[in-house]
Amino acid sequence: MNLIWHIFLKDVRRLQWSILFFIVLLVLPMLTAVLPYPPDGLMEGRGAIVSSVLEVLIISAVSYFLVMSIVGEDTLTNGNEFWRVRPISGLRLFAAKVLLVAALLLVLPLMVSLPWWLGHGYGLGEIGAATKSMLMARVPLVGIALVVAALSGTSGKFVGYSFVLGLGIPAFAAFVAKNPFNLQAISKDMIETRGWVLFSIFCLTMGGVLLNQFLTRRIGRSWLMLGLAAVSMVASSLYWPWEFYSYFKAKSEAEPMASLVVSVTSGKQSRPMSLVEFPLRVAYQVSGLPEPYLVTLRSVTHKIAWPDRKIAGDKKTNLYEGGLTLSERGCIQLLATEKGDSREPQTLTAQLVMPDAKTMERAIHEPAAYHAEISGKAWKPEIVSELPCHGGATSNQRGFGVEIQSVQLLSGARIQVELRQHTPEFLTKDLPLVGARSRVLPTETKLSYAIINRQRGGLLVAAQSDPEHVFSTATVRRFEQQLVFSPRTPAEAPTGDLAAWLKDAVLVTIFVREEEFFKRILETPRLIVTGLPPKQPSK
Amino acid sequence: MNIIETQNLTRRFRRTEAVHDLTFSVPEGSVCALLGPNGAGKSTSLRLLMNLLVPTSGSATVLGVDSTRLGERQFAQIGYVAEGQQQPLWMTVRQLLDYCRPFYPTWDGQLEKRLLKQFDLPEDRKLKNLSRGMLMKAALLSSLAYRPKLLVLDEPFSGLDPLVRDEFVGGILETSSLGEWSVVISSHDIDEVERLADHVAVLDRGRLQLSESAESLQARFRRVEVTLDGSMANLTHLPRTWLLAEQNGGLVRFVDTQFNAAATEQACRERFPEAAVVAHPMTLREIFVTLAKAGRSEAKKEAA
Repeated sequence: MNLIWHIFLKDVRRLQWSILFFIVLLVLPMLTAVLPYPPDGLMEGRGAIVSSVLEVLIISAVSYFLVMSIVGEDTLTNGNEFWRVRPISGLRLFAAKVLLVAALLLVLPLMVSLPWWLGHGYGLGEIGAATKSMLMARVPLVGIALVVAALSGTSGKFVGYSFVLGLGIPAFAAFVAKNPFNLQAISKDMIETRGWVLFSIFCLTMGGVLLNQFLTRRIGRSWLMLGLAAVSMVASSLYWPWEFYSYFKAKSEAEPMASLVVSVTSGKQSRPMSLVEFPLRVAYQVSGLPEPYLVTLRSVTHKIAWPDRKIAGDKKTNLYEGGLTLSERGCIQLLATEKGDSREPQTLTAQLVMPDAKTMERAIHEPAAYHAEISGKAWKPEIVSELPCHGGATSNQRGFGVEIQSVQLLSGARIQVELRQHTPEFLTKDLPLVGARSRVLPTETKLSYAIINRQRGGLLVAAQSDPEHVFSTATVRRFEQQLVFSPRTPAEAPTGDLAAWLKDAVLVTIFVREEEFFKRILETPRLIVTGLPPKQPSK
Repeated sequence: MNIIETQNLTRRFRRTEAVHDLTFSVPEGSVCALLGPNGAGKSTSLRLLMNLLVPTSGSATVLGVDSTRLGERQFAQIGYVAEGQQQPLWMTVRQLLDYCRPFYPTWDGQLEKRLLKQFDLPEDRKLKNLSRGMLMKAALLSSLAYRPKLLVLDEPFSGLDPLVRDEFVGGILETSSLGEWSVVISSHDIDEVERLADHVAVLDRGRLQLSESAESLQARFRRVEVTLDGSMANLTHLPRTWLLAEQNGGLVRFVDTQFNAAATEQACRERFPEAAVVAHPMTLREIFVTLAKAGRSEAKKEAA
């Protein structure tokens, strides 16, 4: 261990200026994060942009090349290297390099972020989650850089190999996606399975090459491994025969129904959920349905894409009398496109048939039980929506940047949500409103935003309508007290009769899986949701 | 006991065979000179021995361990200084020594100080700012201070001016008196090596020409001059051990590679009955040149 530490310190001494530069880069975003808000709240947005650019571009690039510097200090491909004829084992060198890379590129950023987290009252669980998120974002980059550096004796080769890898992966993905060998015939689960197989081959090969380079330095063997892996990946992507994804999927914990836009009814009598009054394109993706379940669309022109793609293309079908029976477990994608006069209301309904009357009864009368029941059966429904909506965002604000509680949906606008994350970064997400529910809503109708995922310690926000049966009132109320909407500039503030803007208020809800995490969000003063400029409604 | 042994060691670089079927050994405690012209395969051979290259076929043992399995335990007893070896140029001489020291349990601080003084190396100067000779001396110092059992020097003199060469050789000679060790030194500079070597191996075009002690070699090789009585000599069908035979007027010269005073004289008498035979001892350089010329001549014949 002493000798590992000895090599570690030698590399630190060698790269001291690069390391210092890297630390400055890490600390810089923190400075923007702790600057006080200007009155109009602009700094928050600019800080977000600065942070994101620094984090994503500069820091990532510097991290990547720093790995090369660390490994390149004692290259593995050059027989004339100083360390090769010294009593330094490859394993010891590997340990020293990995230790330094981990300390510098993984631990150090965490240590820099830690004061920020603590300063904002994050608990251990949140710090753990944030750490995990940060590592998830950095480890792949660092891992790939380690392998490429281990194969490169010089910076030029490092850049070249990185370039080839950067082009090769998308090219490979495009090759697979282009489906030259009739990929249509396979199920979605098989696609998932093959994805995992490819991922496993990639990771194992990278690990093998890394160890081989450090322990034996037989670069020919490393290239052979890479070549075999490439062939295996191409072959697996096309011909891997054993599907195992559904097995693991069935065993996995059910995802809560973060967004569900199917109505629950019995028999073939479907009940319209809502009307659509503007051009609408909605894709439902319902996965993990047990075999006897039925999903029905009505009164829409739709495109149906089965998982195996046996049925594909546009159809204009009236499905009043029937539905699409799933012949196998898996997902069904229903893409409905409104045609005709968009001013006319269109009905979009999905119907779910429960396996027995008792379950159905519970589903209808006990939404909570319905949710639980479906979750227990590994339902994973989610909306993938892309809706040009005639909505807009304004508020009953009491001033710029102050807390408001509702927004009004107007034509031609969208809501943008910016959420402060655990890390001193921002996640900026443009959220198109959910078309199925985002017509000009009656006053009492509520629109919710469900947090369905966390990215890099932050929140990915998706929209969902009518969450009354899913989320408790208490949750909504608490959220209302915390959420902040603000126009970006004073000029974008609503003018005229404010009351006219507020006739159709919509409630916004944020929902997360873990209650503790949710509480923390509520207590986080940095959490903001920014509405885009409200516009005058068209007459 | 031999500190290095190779058995049919061969290394190919695609179509080029850099080392062919090399079988030789270096006795423990000897200073072995690996001689040969440029491109003879000396450096490749040493790199094979140091596990910097993998043999295409054959094997070698160094310190009793297969060369492809040389690890930190063996390298703690080996010093390797090569002309093209990269050094951590960003370090000062002091930092280089400080960095190397913990890796060697046998590092001798007193010896380090003595060599530092003897080599007159500026401790605080970065390696990149050292002259070529100084850099070689720093490398040699960092490879001597732990009293290696085996010191391998690959073309250590190339690029050094004569003064530095003298210092360098002096350093090796002086240090060699410090203890039991073996040295393998590759060079095409025979004059320098001659002062050091007590065992010689000669390579030419990747093939071993000979490998034996310098004493035996110099005893075995003689430049023989035969003064004829005026008649022309027939230089065909001479023994294979007589190399580079030539006639210049009444004088026939050749190199006997298996010199034995009585036997050589007897062989000369049979071919040149009335001639006077004189045998001269040869320097290592003359032996080397003889072998190199003979090798080329042989190659031409083969090519023809």
